Amino acid sequence: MALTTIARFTLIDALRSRWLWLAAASGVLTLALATFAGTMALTERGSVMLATAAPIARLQAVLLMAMLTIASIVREIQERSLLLMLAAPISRSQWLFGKLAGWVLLAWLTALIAALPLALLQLTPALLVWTLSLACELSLTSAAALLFALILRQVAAAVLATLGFYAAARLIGVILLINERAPLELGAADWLSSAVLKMVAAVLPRFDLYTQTDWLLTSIQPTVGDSLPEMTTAMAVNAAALAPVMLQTLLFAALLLTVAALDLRRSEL
Amino acid sequence: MSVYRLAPGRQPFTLWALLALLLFAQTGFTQRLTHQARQQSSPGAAPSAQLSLIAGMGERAAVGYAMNLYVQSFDAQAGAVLKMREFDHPAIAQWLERAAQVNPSSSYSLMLASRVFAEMASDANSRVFLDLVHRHFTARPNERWVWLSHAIFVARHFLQDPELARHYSRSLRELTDPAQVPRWARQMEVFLLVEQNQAQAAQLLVAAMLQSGQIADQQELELLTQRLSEGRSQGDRRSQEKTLTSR
Repeated sequence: MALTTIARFTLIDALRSRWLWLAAASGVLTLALATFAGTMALTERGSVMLATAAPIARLQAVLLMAMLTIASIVREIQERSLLLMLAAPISRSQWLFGKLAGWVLLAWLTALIAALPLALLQLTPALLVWTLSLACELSLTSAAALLFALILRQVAAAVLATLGFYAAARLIGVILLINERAPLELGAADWLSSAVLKMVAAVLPRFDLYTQTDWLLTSIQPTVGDSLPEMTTAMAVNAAALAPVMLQTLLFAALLLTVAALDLRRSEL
Repeated sequence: MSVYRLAPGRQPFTLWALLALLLFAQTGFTQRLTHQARQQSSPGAAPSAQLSLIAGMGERAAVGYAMNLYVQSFDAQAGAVLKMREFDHPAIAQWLERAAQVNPSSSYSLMLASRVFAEMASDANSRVFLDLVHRHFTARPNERWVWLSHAIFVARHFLQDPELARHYSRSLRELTDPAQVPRWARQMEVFLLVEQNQAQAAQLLVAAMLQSGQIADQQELELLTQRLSEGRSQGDRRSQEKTLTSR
């Protein structure tokens, strides 16, 4: 009961922070930029529009969720409303779970709004997979933002930490690839940096495997004229891409939540 | 007194006037900046594929298309249009190469190379663009045959190099799947041979195609036979004319 109440108030707080307006404005901007890119394309117009719209929608949604989460948590700490809440019969862990539940729900709603302009460009089952993956990515980003806001208690520091975490998680795949293609004869310093990189990669979630634009552009797309077996095959391919994303999200969200719970239990409020 | 200080006051006219003046100054300043922009004939060296991917947060398709759109609209700079013949074409070829490397599932670079830049560049640079199309065609022949067929057209009619056109048409015939590529594209080599007055070589090629099962349709065979006989009669006429003029 306490959990749902905290989650509900998190939603209300986000609505008061103009979440819906910001998400809708992001959608309009996505569509405008995709249309602009489309007017320039001489060939593959649909692909150019999608390849422009999808990364922009994704990045805007990530920034929106990170900023809203951090601003809300830091405000609660600085205005002492967190203390007021904990004066009620609610444990620190309950408050944390309730907050996360609210932000995860908002992440899923934001993913839905971010997918709307893409649905106007191309409505396929792959878009459903893309949207679900974005919802998972936003949920993890919100959980990381919540953790950094609780630890750092300053908006600027928490934003930088969250964006650093996100960029590292997005780029770790490319960086690992570059590291693998490095010359074979390595010095001690190279070996050490390579080992550190592998350790970091082992801890971070692989956001480069989440919400891939290629899913939307790939030729394996069921269309209206396809037979039932063809459509089922295409949907199975899309669903197979989503399974590791879901699993990674659950695992890493639990990890972040545990760290946040540990920090919240030990810290002076 | 302090109560009145906290209440929102009326904005004086001078503030509105200052705002309008500053807005006017800002627009004038930016307009001047736009016109002072230097026109360049070269897009500069293309960034490495790895660097582009890092800058684009790993978004292959978006980075590849952005590179293509950048070089495609390179002729329009600072409100003026540059002559495409004056471009640094080797640098543009490098950008196209990089875009194709970053986003291998797209053929946008091949379209720009074969249909836009190869037709505009000097002969030497045009060959660079056609070579780019041919190299990338060999990686995915059944998807990219359209752009190689256009490269054959450019080689034959813009560069007037039938040997190069034949070299590309041979690749098109040998590397593509008959089930996925139209016959006219795969028969270009025969037509080029006929056009070059090499009817015998064309006949041998048709026979080889028949033997290997590449020509299975009766109508297709009839069309090729017709073109061969037309080519032969044209060749005979030309040799008669040559003999008459030499006398």
